[in-house]
Amino acid sequence: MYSAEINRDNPSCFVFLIDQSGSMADAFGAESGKRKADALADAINRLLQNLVLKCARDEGVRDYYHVSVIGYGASTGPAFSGALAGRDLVSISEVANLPARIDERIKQVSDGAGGLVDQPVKFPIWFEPKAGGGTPMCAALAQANTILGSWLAQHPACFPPIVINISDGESTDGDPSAPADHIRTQATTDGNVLLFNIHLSAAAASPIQFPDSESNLPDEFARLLFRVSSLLPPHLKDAVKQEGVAVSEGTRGFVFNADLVSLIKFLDIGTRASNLR
Amino acid sequence: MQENDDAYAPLEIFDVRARRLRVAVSDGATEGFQSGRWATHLVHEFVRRRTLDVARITTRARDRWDDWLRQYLEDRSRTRPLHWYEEAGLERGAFASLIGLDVEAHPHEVDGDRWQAIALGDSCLFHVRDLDLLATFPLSGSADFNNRPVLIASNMSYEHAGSVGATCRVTGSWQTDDTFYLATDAMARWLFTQVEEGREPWSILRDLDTEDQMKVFDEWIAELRSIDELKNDDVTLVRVDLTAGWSQ
Repeated sequence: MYSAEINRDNPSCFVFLIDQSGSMADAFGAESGKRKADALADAINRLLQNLVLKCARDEGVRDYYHVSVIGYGASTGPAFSGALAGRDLVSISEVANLPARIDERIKQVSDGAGGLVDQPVKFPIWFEPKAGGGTPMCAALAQANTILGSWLAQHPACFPPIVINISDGESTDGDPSAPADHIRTQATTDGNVLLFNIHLSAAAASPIQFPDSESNLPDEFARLLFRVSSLLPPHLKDAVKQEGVAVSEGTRGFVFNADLVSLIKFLDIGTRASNLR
Repeated sequence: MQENDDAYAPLEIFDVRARRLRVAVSDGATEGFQSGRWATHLVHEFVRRRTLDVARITTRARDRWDDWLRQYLEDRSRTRPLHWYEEAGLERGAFASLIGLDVEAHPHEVDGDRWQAIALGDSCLFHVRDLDLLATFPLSGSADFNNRPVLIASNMSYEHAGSVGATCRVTGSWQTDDTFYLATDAMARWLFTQVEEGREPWSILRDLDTEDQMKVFDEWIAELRSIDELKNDDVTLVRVDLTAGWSQ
């Protein structure tokens, strides 16, 4: 299980569910004046960038993955900006070639003599920050189930798709357990679909990464998201362990009150598919 | 015997009369730009130099890489501009393993027939005598492989955690008719598994012979892949037969 080779004939898929509710306009954790929505947009854009780079070869970008980004807030639906707007599932080569725009940012790199120098780097943008409305998480999970259903019908033997749900609060359209459970029961011949949850909490509690029990989680909604998260399969558990996180049989793909650093770390780990070399 | 992002040196099947022989294999990581080219620079620098100092070999290989990159960027700016992901990929650079074998023959000296090897990453060396496995390096079993080996980076700023400093080095002695195999990870892992399961792969490898039988190797690899015994990855295997004529 979780050992199918990811190749162009047998690609896998990622579905991101992004909370765009009104509370995402609040400041992010104790850090800076940055809004949660901005921090999240940065993280998703960086993730898409990393995914593209994983699939880029000398001759171009290979379609090892298809990607869906679904936003939920004032409305629920595909959240790509620019040329990909309105598309619910896009090949990674299209993602690579059609960012909405390319910003320039400054990155500090080694000067080769022990110091750091500023270097301008291109930062492609596919996803813009947005904050408004409620948190229709059930609708978002249902949409993911629909996308996965048609993907799995066409790719029954692929490396199991990964769904990453990022939210800062309580679902406003009902208990998300049933549609979340449905996601985790969808499967390929190589294993069940993986559902990971990232809870961006406004609480000042310490971040918790990849817990194996809900006992330390401070509120019922965090506990609920923990319960509906998949157990980490062995290759991801190894990746997490290599990042210095203690793991056990019960370790789930869940992060509570993640700050930006652990959020990006989590996303990077989540995309480290064991058979893509 | 190879495809894709692996490299080996020297390039020809050879019969040397010199008293020193250097052979290297490198596996360019798929997640990187121009990894095959970087792997080629590393193996060529290894066989060209007399040193076993990976830092020095890497520095030379980086000089060659930088020269190539400068020319490449110049050509591309004239022909077709780089995509953002090519720019990011080239900035990040390439990553590759290296296993290098240095064999010396000084038959009139005590301990004259020594071999030394250096390794960084998961390409492996196997020392075989009369179908018995005498030594493996740097890994010792199939459980030692993972998907994130420490590799040599073309870009020095990715030299964090002292990857070149993680180089392993080993010394041993050899006899006439010994054989060394240098293999990239998929083949090395298969060899370890065969040995661990009590099978005996060395006679198969011994019989895969000469330049004329390249096709046989390819067919054999395809067969191992088709029965899921071998991971679908680049495969390079170099055999070094230390025949009587060589050390005289």
